[in-house]
Amino acid sequence: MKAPIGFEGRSVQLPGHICLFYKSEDELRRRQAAFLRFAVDGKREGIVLMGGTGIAETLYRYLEVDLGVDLSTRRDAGMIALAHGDVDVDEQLENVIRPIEAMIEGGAKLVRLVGRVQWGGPDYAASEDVVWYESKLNDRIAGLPVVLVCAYDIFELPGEALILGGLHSHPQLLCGTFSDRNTLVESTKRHLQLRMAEFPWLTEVDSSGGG
Amino acid sequence: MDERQLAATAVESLRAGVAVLDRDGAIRWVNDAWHRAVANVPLLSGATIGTRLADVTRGKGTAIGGTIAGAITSVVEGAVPYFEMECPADGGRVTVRLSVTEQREQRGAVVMCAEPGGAFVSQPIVLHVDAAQLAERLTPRERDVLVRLADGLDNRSIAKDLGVEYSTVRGYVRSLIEKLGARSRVDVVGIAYRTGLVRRTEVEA
Repeated sequence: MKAPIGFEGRSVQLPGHICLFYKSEDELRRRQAAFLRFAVDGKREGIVLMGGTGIAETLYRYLEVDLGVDLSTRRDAGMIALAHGDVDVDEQLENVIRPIEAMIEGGAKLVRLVGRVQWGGPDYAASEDVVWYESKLNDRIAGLPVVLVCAYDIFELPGEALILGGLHSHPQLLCGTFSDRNTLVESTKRHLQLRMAEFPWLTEVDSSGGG
Repeated sequence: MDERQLAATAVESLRAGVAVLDRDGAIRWVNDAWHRAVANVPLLSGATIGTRLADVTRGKGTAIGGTIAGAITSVVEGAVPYFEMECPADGGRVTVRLSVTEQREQRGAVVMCAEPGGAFVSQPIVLHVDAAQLAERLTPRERDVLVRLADGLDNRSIAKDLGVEYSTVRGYVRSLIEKLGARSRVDVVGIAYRTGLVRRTEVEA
């Protein structure tokens, strides 16, 4: 089964986990509106908006304004959910998975998620845990009718976030005019062993340095 | 050699006052030179073991005290890795250099106060912790959870694997973070790899 993503007529195989590299707030809004318009138009699709403190609420307001619709009825019906980050990354993971599973149990044929990735900051997982979370999502959505779009601001986020969180964790990539399967994606276990546990800030440093 | 002795050894040649802060920013260890620094630097007066250093400097009611408090908090919380500034001492006649550095193995910070011209480290000090000591701190169940964390499992999967409640696993993970002095879930795995608590061959397919 495939689902359209609102980009050049492209669709992705379910479950989808797309890394969106974006350059501006306007681009994020445009991409989100195009991707979620299908869910707003369709009666059997759910929407999850995710981010750190206040981010999901902002994405929700963007969506209402950009599509020119009042989504409160759908939200009250449980088909739109706002999910939040957590300093405990496993809680953050559950915050995302729980509403997806609830919507599917409630009859949703497809759930679309837009998440805005943070790197540091309060009420959000530690940077290295964000990478684990992104990688782990692939395992948790296996077999589910979902498409997740994780938005990475290429001007705001550091290279580690773009490479480890974006390139090595998402089976699909969307950037500018490019959209394709990502051959750099790695399994969580491999990712954890080869990349995450050797993050620069997690490795030992020489304590003898002076000056 | 325990972590305090290691910290003392690391800065022995610096002749700087050193305080080690825990994850709450409270002072849990100081060297002898720290007492001299505190006596000499008004901003640090009252900064003894058990006090929260940021509260002490903020309590002076000065702009520089507030700045230092903010910097200490930022380092302790992991927002920035390092902070260094000069502040007045000895009645304003001289300045001293104050450095706040993150502890990478254990969340918290190392604060150093050195007189002008004194040697100074500009890199984070790592307080090494012996693997055997770490292992002794863990219960068998915590070690079970640790191996599965290193395997990349989430709490729900670990709970299913061990036949326990999700909330129980969450408790074990929090305990591991605390006991290993880690800042995060992945940091726990990193420490486990580096100290040999978990060997990479155990998590390879």
